[in-house]
Amino acid sequence: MPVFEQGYAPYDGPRRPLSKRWWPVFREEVQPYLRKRRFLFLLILALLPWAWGILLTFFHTQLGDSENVKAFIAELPKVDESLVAVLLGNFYNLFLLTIVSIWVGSGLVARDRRDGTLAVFLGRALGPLQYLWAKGAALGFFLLVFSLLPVLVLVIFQVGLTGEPAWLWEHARVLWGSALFTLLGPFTLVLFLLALSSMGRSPRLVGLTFFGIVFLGPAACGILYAITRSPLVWFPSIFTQLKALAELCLGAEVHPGEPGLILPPAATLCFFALLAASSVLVLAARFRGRAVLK
Amino acid sequence: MGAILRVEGAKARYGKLEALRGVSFEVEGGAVGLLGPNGAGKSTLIKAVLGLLPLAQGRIWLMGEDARKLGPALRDRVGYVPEREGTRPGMSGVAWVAFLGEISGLPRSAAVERAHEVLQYVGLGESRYRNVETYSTGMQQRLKLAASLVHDPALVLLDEPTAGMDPVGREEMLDLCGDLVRQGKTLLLSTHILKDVEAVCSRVVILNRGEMLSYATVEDWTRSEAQHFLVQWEGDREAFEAACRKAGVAVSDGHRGLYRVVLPSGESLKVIFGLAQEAGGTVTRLVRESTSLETLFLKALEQNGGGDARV
Amino acid sequence: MIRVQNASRWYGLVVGINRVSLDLEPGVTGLLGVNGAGKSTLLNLMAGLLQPTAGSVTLGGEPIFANPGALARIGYCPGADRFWEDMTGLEFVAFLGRLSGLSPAEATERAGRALQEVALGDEGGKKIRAMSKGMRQKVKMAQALVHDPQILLLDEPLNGMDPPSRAHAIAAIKRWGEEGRCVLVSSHLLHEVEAMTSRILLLHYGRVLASGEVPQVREAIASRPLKVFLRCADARALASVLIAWPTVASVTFAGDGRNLTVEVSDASDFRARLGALLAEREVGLEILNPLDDNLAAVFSYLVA
Repeated sequence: MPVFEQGYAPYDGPRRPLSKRWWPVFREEVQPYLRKRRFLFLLILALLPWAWGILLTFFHTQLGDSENVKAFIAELPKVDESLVAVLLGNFYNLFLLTIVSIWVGSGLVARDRRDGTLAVFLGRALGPLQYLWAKGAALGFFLLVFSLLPVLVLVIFQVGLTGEPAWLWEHARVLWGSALFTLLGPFTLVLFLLALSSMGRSPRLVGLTFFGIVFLGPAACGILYAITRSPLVWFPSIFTQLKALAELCLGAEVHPGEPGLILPPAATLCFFALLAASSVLVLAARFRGRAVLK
Repeated sequence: MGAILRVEGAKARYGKLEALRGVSFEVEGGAVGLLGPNGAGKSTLIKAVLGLLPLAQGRIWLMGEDARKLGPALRDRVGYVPEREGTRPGMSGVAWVAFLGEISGLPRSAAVERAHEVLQYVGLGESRYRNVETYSTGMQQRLKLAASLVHDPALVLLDEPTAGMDPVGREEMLDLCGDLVRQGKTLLLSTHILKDVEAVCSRVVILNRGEMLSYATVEDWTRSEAQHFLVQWEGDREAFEAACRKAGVAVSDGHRGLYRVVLPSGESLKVIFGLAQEAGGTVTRLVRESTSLETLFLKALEQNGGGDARV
Repeated sequence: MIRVQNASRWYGLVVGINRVSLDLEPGVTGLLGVNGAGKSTLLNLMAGLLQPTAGSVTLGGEPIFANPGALARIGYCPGADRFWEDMTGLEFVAFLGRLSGLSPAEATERAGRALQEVALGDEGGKKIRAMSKGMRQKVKMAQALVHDPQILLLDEPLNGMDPPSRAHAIAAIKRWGEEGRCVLVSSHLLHEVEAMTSRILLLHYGRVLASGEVPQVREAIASRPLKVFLRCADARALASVLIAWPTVASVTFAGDGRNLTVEVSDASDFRARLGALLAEREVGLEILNPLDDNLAAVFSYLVA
């Protein structure tokens, strides 16, 4: 019985440049999630409030002329920084963002370590930076759904339905504030999850650890708050910090009426800077020493 | 054509441990075995050739180019069949190999095409659409070989390629290695199984404690001396031994009837058969005695102070 | 000593072994078979880790499963690589010795000796975590020996060992066989099995395909006449003589005209005649080599 029915053929076709090698890793990380119905459902759930925001836009721009509804529409929230701050920083959005982070983020590096495939990838012409970029971009891709992407869609609807870019100049902060929020918030989370994932070999354990940090942390802070009544105890709570970041970037309160920014802005910025810096340090230590291959 | 691989004065360390202490050799082509006791530096050398471990001193040239200058691109020209590393469950054989091909630079369609080709080549044609976690050990090894070939490297590094394979699978794997050599690929085969090296390689690098003890060729381990023979004897052993001694034929080592025989110079093998008739038994096998790779290897270790042998 | 009588072990639809009967005798026996043939199942049954779904696996008339008396006489070196990594080699072997009923002092002493026996004397004090694969294998072999069992079951014991250690282990296994112990060694490397013993047990999809001494098994494969390779200066003359013999089925030339491959229907008759012929006639013989009475050939004829 012949072992090889077809001889070996050499390859002399084109090869992609080294800088593009991250793309297949990114694609293979993202595709399986896009095929899962439950995951897509989660994304749709996250977009529902934004659908409400688009509906508001529609009301404000198209129906403002009719007398019957004028009064009704005047009562509705305006489409401005305040609305976006609410949509970004409310518990519902942040909660779903965290769920998706755990779902996608816990296995980023840990799964490859568990399967023994990390060494296989790094043994190809794919450097650790490209690998991390591909994996981080995969998570970042999904986190955009909870941050910049729906804002962009909302802005497009607003400007498109009125045909005037005037709104845009007036409410420029909506755009750059959201972009800033995305960069400082969700993307720092991406770094954090990459770092966390590189330390473990079990995606479940990594996910559980992140879950503990995100959900049990605030619980502990809550207890401390009840005791000390000092707003600074909320420093390590990721939910509070993300909410504060939204308020900071958009200059509006997430819960109008309630005192916003219970933490000083410096504390929020410090938190995310610390989170990003420590994540980068962990990643550098793991990947440079090749300890991550063990 | 110049050497495919050239290592010069390679020194490498893990922290304080000196894993390689100045190894130098050149591979023009064909298959080279990499032997050594545990901890000799074999995997360190492989990692260095792959560019995954920076050398503290020394250089490595791949097809005439300095490995340092090539950077990650050097791994486009080298294939690696690791001993342990795995596959991603949930992907089929083709999907996995094509994925790795893409990472090594092949455009998507070319990667898929090549994946099919190499899987057919290694004999996994029928299992290509099955998920990799359903593959047996032998199939996994062949899958790793396919993955190492998808980007058509000139040099393939194999780490224990027949590990865990049954005799049938082993033979097929070694046949594949032999065929790769015939196709013009250069192989560096690191293994503990000397028979594998004897089957495939034309040269061996013997390492111990980070140093290269010897760079031997196949002639060195198939050398035989004139008038030295191995005789398999069936019958009365004492009678045979006595008859040999009487005829002035040196005989030794009667374990299970396999004797080492040294004929006086000028004598032909007819003598042995005459003695066999005299002793009333039969000679079932008669071959020239030659050294083996095992003897060569153990001798090299012994001369170097035993290596890890006691451990 | 261990008697397997019509034993079967199924895992649902998957066959482990199927109606296997054998007696494990003193000396070394090689256990061969492709992956999935049932070698590990058989070893686990003999080591008392599994119960047969049908038939019996007994030692001295008593089933081995959950039988401390039987288990005390059996040493098992499993294929899996699982240890308490924080123990040293000596501690590990001594601990397992104690599990076999030795007193603490005895266990430590015997552990030391067992480690010496497998050439891990100096390095036995290292933590297992720090040991190479080959050293771990030796620890496994030592723990199988520590309670001085009559029966040794070794599942791929040489896996991961470097060539010097392999040579040492093969010699040790041969020695244990010569001491009168029943040693059953499972391995894929046929040339190493041949170095240890000429008695084999070949499994194939759960059934015994062949058992006994390799030469006898070879002769029992009647469908394949023995092939003998001859190389001599005067090949043509020799060929014309050989072809006339009734036990010679065919003679083929190859190579530079000096190589003969002879197919023989009766091996012993052929050898006797050839011996007589070569004793009185000078043919410039260089090589006489039966090609397929070795284990590799037997294996491939039966399995592949």
